[in-house]
Amino acid sequence: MRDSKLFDEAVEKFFRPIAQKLHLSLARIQEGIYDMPSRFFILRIRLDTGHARGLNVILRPASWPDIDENDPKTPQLGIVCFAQFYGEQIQQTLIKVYTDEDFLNQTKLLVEAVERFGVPYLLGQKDDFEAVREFIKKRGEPELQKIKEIQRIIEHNMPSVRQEWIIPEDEMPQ
Amino acid sequence: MGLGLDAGLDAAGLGDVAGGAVKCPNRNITVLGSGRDVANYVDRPGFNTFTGKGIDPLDWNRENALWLNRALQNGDEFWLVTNPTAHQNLMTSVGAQSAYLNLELPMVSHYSDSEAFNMYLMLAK
Repeated sequence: MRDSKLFDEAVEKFFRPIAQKLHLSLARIQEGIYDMPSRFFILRIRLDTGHARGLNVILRPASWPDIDENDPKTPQLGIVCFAQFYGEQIQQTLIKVYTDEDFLNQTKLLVEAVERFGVPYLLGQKDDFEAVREFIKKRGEPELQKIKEIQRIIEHNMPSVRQEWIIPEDEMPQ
Repeated sequence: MGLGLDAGLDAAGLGDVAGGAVKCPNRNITVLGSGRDVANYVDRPGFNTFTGKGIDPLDWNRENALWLNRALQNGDEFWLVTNPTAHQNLMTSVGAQSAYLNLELPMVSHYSDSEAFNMYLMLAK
């Protein structure tokens, strides 16, 4: 996996001290994924596997220890969402990661965001997680409508495009 | 570089409507979706996927667009293997970006919705 070694090093260097300070464990779940669980929330640190280099930091309630993180029903929020909820813009999205140094700089910014916005949840000092989810859902509504419109246009103009999220195995060309 | 209209009609399954035979015998199934979902099709014969492997991250979006443009011109069949609505919800909740949603689907939509394409459809009817 791209950046796997760099990711491991960045997590150890920047996230391990927070875990130690809060007396929380920091476990490598699988390649590219670490969890820092508390009694209240679980902080997931995840290597970005998409186009962009970098990492994502995500909070979910401790009542969801095992999740399919790609399932939209999973109650999880990126740390940037909390910053937005509190009227701030952290610079993570402004940093384009092209070099290893950029990667580490992005990690540092995310760690700062975790200290400001994530730690209170990990310590059980905040109970507005659902309010943040609702805020982010509303905020994402215009983008969602745009995607639905794009989907509608493709369905209308290119009916041969298979919109099948799971292709049956027996239809897979060998 | 323009998009090949005949190839596009084939991609849309309208080659016969337009009175043309399949003009791209070497067409693939081009797979669009999230990195995780597309991974199931990487290196499978007959499937065309973009992984960005070996490409400088600076060039990823440009190369992705060029790759998709070639697939459209080639008259490839398209499979969307990630639910766009669900994926948008996911991206919003984790505060991430997706080339599938922000680059690939808009390109396909724009291509399919082009004025020339619609005019050809009207004539075909």
